[in-house]
Amino acid sequence: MTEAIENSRPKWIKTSSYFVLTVAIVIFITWISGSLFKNGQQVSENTLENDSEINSPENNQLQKIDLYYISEDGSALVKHEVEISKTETLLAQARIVAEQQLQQPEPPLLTPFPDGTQLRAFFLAPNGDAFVDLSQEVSLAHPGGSLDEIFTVYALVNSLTGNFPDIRAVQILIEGQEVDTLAGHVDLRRPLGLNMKWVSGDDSLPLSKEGL
Amino acid sequence: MSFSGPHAQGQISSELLVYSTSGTDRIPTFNVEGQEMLSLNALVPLIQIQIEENSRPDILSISTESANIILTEGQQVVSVNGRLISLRSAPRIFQGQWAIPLEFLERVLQPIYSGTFDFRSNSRVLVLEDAHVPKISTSYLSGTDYDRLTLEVTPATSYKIDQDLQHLTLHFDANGLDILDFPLLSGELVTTFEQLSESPDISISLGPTFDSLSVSSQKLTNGGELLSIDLVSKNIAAADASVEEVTSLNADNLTETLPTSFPDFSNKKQIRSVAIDPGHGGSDYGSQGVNGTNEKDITLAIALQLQQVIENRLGLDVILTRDRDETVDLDARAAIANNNKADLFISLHVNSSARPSAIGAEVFYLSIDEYSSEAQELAEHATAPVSVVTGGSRTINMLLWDVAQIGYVEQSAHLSSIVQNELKQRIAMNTQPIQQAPFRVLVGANMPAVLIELGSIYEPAEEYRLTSDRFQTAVVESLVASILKFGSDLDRWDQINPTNSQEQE
Repeated sequence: MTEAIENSRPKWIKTSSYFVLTVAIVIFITWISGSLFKNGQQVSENTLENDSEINSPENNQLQKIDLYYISEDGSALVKHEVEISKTETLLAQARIVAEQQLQQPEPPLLTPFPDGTQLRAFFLAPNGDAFVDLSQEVSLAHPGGSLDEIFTVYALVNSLTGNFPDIRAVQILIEGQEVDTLAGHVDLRRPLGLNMKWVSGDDSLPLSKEGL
Repeated sequence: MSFSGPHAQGQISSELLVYSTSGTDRIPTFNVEGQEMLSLNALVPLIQIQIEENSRPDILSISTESANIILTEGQQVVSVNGRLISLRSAPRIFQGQWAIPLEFLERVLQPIYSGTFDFRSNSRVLVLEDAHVPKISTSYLSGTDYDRLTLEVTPATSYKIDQDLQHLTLHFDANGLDILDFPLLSGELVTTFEQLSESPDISISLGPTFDSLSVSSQKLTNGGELLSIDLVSKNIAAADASVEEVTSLNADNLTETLPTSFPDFSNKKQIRSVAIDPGHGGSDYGSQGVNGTNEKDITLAIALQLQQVIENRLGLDVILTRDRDETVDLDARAAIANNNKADLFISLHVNSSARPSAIGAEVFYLSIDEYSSEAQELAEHATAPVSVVTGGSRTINMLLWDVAQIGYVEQSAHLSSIVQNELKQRIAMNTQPIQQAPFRVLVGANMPAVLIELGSIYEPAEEYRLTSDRFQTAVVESLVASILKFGSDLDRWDQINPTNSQEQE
């Protein structure tokens, strides 16, 4: 499950790993004793079943979510609302949103993700940090440019943190590895939280200062 | 003068414009076996040389005040005072007249000519005597608030602008104009841009949406002058009544934007060294244009020019994070600046937007929201006591090296504002000219730091503009002026930002 997270990770990740082990033991003991485990918070790969539940886990229920694309003038991200079927766990639901965000939209929407970018794995840490492991195309095929790199990063970060309050921050991995940046600009060494200043139409638009 | 001989053999391709104080002459040029040639007999009356027939009809002697030149038909070697000069193409005789390749002007006549002999091969212009024919490079940028037509005039030449309804005329005090390139016009605000025949005037036809214009100019370090004409459309003018309409301008009324006096940098708290970071490099090409231009090459070219100007004009040390096409880690870039105790960090980049409309320069400084935990730690442990060899202890300032920029964000914001103000006077800016972002290369810089995206290489017109001397000079001038202004403001930082002032060690 955690093979993608290597020993060279920062201390807090290692701490998380220890916590995972501890929680896993607790889960095992709980399972043995026949107790029902609810609201488990562990570093979870998307195939795990024991995960925090979506608020109303009824089948066939739809959830409205916001995905993010590049605005027509190229200066910001714009929200695009879609509906997806609800699943039973936060982990599964968040993974679906991440996959949807990576898909090519219908014009005139324009994705900030390079062609071929795939979701390799998706993890949740107990503190609410999500780790999204993307295929190398997100970096190798990225056209470069600071602003578009920001849009690539925050489209994914905002689609997860904005739609799921339980997800505190998102760290992007590439081919299972931590990376400094996607294309030489945005610092990806730590999880990034919701940032709506890159989204057009939001109250906190990108800064535009003519002078101090 | 007439010259018809070679036309039967060679195809007329163009003409050589010969400017002198007595007027302008045109000599046709023609292609012979892929080489552009002209009639020497047509040129002789215009310049101070004599040609002498030789006993052998295939040999010609040319004499000037200081040299004797011997040509032989069909021979690619020319003798100049006994020294042999090799040409790519041999002189020819057509119907009794000598034809010489254009390179003969540059390689043979120009070096030995006693008076002014300025041959410009690219534009096929020959300037003689004391004729004044400035070179003019142009560009046209469509912006959201206005369009900008720029003319880089080298050397600087006095001019006058007249506006007559939908027509603008630029009169230069010169014998002629050497227009190196003509602008690609939008067709809405400006419909035509043309040089009036053989005159030092440029005629500009204004389009149906034109409302008003403003003109500014600045001196350039190469002795030239950058003339910027900002054109406002009726749509924008209606929305912004503050745009001032200028109907007739004279160069005397224009203000120069570049400071002429430089502050004293001897004070320790002022700027002594500047780190310039040419973005990307080596295996990291950065953004790439459709015509193959690489971001890494543009940033390096500008950085090298900037280094030269800062060192020569300001006398400051310049630290380049790379001075050649090599790969440099992002960590190493800030470390180079920190280890050399640079007082400023300027990272140069070129954008590439998925949307063609997103053009223009942007200035970034660090956003600290993404580093809130480190900022909190810095706030809680800003100082710590350490033992000293003489006994006792003293308090030192603690620094989280990995996020050293956190302590300089206010100054970086101020630097961003200054850079943006200088850039916008010279080049087109993005609709969001100043932004904050968690940029990797900035966060470790232990000094005020900005990252500048100079334009978008995605658009072919922008790609071309980013590589032009005119654009790169404008960027260099903007940054030099920014360093001057910021250095001046550092002196009174406590007044500028009294609540967050900090000591710079």
